[in-house]
Amino acid sequence: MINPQLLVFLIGAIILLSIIVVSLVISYGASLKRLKKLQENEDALYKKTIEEEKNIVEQAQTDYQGIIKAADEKAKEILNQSAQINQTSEKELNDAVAGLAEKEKNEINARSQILLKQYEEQIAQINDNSINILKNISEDIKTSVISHFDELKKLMSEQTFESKKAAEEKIKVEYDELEKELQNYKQKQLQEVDQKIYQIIFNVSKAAIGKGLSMDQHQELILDALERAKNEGGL
Amino acid sequence: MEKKINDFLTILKTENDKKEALFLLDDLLENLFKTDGSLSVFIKKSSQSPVAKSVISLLPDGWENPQDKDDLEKMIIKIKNTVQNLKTVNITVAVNPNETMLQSLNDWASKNFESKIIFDVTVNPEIIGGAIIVSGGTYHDFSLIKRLKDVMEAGKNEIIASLKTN
Repeated sequence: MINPQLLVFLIGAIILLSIIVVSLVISYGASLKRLKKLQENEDALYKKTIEEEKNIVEQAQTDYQGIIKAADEKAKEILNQSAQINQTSEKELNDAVAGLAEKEKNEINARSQILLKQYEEQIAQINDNSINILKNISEDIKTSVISHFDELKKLMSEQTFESKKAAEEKIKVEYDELEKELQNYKQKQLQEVDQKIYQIIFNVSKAAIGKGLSMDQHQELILDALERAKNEGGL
Repeated sequence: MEKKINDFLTILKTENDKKEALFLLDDLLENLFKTDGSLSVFIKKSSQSPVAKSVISLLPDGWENPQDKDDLEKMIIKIKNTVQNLKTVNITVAVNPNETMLQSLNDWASKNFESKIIFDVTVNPEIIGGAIIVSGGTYHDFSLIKRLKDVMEAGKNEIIASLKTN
């Protein structure tokens, strides 16, 4: 069984919700209407604006063309006036320029003459100076060369003397060494000769003694050797 | 018997004599008891050498048919040992020694030493004369070549100088 209180509560709630839904639907419909109206107003305003812009542009073009036309006319007028002024001015200017040019030319000629004269004078002076300098340089070179030549001569003489001295010393050293070697060689050769002489004498003595001994003398020498060995405690 | 042995030793003068004597004594001992006549053959064959003659001289009378060969064997062994123990002196001489010279050496040894000395003789003519003696580890050079060298070395410079001035 459903609780009656709950049932009442539910029914009330449903009714309340229905009312709310209906209110919302009504409100939504009203809103849609207002929105549509606003949209229509906006469209109308847009069209009006476009139209106005078009008009303004057309008006502006018209004004612009008028201004341009007026400006052209004004410009033509000014140009005409200017041409007239130019023609006058040009003539005056040409005259003035011609006068100035003539004056300037004369001044330049005069100045050129002065400068040319000064230049020639300076050139002449420079030439004189140069000749003097060259003369002096030539003298300096001559003096310097003579001086250096003397120094060179002296130096060469000294070096020649030193070289000669060094060569003499070297020759002396080598000569001494050679003499020493020769002396050694001579000494060695003499020693070899002495040794050969000694060997010859020795061999001759040996042969002479050996052949000269009789058996008795041999026997005597052997017995003498035995006696000496015995005396030395060797037997 | 001692006299016979001493006489026998007197015959031995050189190392070669000693070697020959030992060889003969060994041969004698080897043939002593043979009955096939080998001993007689040995005696005849060896009778040429003085050393062999002296060995044979050691044998008693009637040795060809000895009654008691054991005594003879003992005597030969004793002689052999004596010979083996003889002192040897090595001596180098310049000439090949003749019998007189060997006898002279032997006499000198008998005179100067109580025990018998044997000389082992080497001949080298290079020593000219004198002798080089080696005995008991000592060396004595009394050769003429050494004396000549000593003399010439001592007076070498004087000799050469003398020859140059002459």
